Amino acid sequence: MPRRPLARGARAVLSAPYLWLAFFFIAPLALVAKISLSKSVVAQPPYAPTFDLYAGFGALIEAARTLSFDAYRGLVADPLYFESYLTSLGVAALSTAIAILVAYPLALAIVRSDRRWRGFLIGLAVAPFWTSFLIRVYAWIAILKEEGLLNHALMTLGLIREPLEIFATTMAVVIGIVYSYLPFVVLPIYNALEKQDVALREAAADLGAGPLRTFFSVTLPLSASGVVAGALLMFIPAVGEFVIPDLLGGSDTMMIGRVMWNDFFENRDWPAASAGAIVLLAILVVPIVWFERRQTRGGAV
Amino acid sequence: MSAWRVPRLATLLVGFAFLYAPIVLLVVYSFNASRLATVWTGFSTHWYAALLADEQMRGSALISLEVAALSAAIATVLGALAALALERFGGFRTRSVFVAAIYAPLVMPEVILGLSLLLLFVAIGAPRGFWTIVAGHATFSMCFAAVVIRARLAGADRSLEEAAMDLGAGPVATFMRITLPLAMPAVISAYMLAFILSMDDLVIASFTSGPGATTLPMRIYSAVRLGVSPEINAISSLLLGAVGVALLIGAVAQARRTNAA
Amino acid sequence: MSASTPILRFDGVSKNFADIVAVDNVSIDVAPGEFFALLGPSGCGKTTLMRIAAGFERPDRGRVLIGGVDVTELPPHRRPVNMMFQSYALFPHMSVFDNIAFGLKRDGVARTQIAERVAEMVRLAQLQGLEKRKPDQLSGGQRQRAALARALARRPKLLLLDEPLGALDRKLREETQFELMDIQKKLGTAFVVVTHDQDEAMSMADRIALMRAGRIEQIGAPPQIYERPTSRFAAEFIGEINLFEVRSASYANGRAHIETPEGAIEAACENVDRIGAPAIVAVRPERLRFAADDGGVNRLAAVVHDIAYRGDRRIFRVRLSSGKLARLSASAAEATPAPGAEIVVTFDPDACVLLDA
Repeated sequence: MPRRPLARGARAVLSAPYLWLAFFFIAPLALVAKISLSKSVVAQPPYAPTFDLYAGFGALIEAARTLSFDAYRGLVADPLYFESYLTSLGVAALSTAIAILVAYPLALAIVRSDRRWRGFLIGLAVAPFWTSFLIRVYAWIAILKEEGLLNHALMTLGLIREPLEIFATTMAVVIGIVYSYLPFVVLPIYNALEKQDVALREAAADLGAGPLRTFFSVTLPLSASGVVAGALLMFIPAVGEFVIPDLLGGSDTMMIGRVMWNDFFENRDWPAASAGAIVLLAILVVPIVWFERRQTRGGAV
Repeated sequence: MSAWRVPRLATLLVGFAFLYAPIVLLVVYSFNASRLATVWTGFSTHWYAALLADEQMRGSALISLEVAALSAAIATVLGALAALALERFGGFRTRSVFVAAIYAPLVMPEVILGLSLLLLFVAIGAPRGFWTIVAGHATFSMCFAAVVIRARLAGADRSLEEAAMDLGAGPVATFMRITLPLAMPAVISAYMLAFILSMDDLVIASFTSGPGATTLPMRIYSAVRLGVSPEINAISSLLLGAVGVALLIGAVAQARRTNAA
Repeated sequence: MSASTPILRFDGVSKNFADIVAVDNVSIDVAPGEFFALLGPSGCGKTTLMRIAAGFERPDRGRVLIGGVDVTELPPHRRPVNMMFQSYALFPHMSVFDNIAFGLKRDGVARTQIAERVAEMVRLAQLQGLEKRKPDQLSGGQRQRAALARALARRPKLLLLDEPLGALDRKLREETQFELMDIQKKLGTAFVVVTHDQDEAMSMADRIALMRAGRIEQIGAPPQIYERPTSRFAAEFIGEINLFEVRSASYANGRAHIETPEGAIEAACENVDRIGAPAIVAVRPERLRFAADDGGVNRLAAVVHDIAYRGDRRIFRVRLSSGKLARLSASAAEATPAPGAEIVVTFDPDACVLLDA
């Protein structure tokens, strides 16, 4: 695309959202990066050096000299952080895999339904997205608790004698994440499947492929983009998830979002939390870049 | 193909049961007489009455509604402008920075967004409370609004705008008379989305709020941490009901438009 | 299978969609090696009929036989026919090679044989050097040939082609017509082509089934359908035609003497039954000519209205005494009256076809 200076009117239109994002999104991220290089002190705000915009350029250089990598060193030294990154990635990956296994058949069943029902069904599958995240996670507490609805039902039916211990485990967190993010995964898979030309499946059948062979050689590979998009859309926020591990998880499910929250509000170690955030961002950039390159490669062909 | 009818219906049944059973149970147990939220002891609207009497809850609900209405308005305007810039201005310098700044908040963990906003408000010495929550919510929901409106603009027939300009309309008149009315369904969806995102948000509100500005999700969250309670079921049911009604109205309006067209 | 067994037989086939009759009691036999065209306007049921043959639609009534075997209940992947789709339906994630090899792999053909057969198909379809390309790296014509190669790779006795030239531009379409005919002759495969384009059907097919509203209107060789249409629909759908309303008619000596608003017409007529019934006389524009002298029958006074230049021919529209416009097609070499000239048009009695109105 040609890069050219914009007309004055266009510049005015652009400047409002641009400046807003620069101030409320880009600048804060820069601040996070900066504070991650500060030292933790007992003060308000609890980090040093503070950033003085009025001190001029010289002071800025001076401040730069006092930058410290303590927070990052602390991150490496503290096994809590390292483990919580691993836990976060593991839980997010497992949840994403399960969500795809649940979402794909559902999306396929919706796409193969009668045309008149399709819109309604996909609407129904996505509708929970519009309801409160917090409430949906809360609903699972009542189900999964030791004296909860699931155990109550299973014990009444005589299927188990002792209540299952799901609540406050990693399994509960995985269930909660799969449940909460399912609409994000169903929708892109549905879109990819819905776009597929029916004639492609017919062509495969015409050339002698049975239903299973047709699915694995045509339907599935052609919906891969939807699967990847759905997986990414879920995986990235799930890694940093705070509410679900906090409400459904136990003490052994220390995900990074929770650790940062605790460092921030309870330990008041802002540089550590900031460093944690920067590292998390760096980790999450990897799948995004991979996805971008995959997209552009697909588009160039 | 008829052979796949049974597995297809079974998949739909299981899938939707998984999606909706927890919600249905939550609503059912909001009418439970017992405080034990997991044992059914009889029908009662007691907890709804208790909820109405709870002044803290009412106050938080009001704050949440105000924050949502305001932040969604800001987000929709900014999002529409951003969508217009992305869809109609072609390439400009630092476009990629702008695109990244629009798309990153869509997937970025909320904890990072909240933390960074808090650091900003501390650094500039802004007193945290109602207005900082509004700013925080407007920031991430404007990105969602931009994406929704941009999709509509991308699908719109450019020749309508060109026809308007050919007939003598300037850029502003073209936008007001042609582009905006045609994008209106998306603008309304964007507002609704932004409103709901704001009503829903716990993490960013927790980081950016201050004393005296406790939103409904914050109130619910602190109650939930203490355990399951039928009062929370009741407020949850009311919120679910409100969203359900809104979705129903939206679906009916959509169906009418489709039928009329 | 004896030589006379039709490769494809529709036996009283009907199909409804909700309350729309798509195919209504159709019976057709296609001979081995025949180039057969299903022709008709959109919505006439020709595509549904082809999809019934391929197995994508199940008929409500009637049977489908392929090579004498009843395949009505067989799913598409068990039928010994192949189809070339209108959209080509080339698998976008597979190379040309893999597309062509797809059906062979399903048949369990050995790897070396697959390579051989694909190479043969690539030569046949003139796709040499493009084997590794993906469908979206091919031109429209190449895609069309790749789809054809894929459909032919399994050496079906019967190939179904759904609007095979529909997606090509005009110039390419004509070249491809001849290519298709060449390939069909070379392989001896029976082709059943669905098309809405009468020129395409006329130039390629051995026989044409003209369809209308789910029914067969007429089946015959192209000259037969063109020269001797059996209905007004057939006469009007294929080519241009002039129609004259019959007011009254009498029959003598193998000739019908007909009164029309434009004047008296004498028509060669074997079918005496038609006389007297409400009917029309149909005459092709190229059978009309400018009368050179005063003799002969079927002389209609007219005024030249306008002239359309078509290179090799000119199409004259002439206004007859009744005010009706008739078309006359004349080669460019003939004398050409100017617009406004008063002339007489004439035609032979055997150029006339008598049809129900």
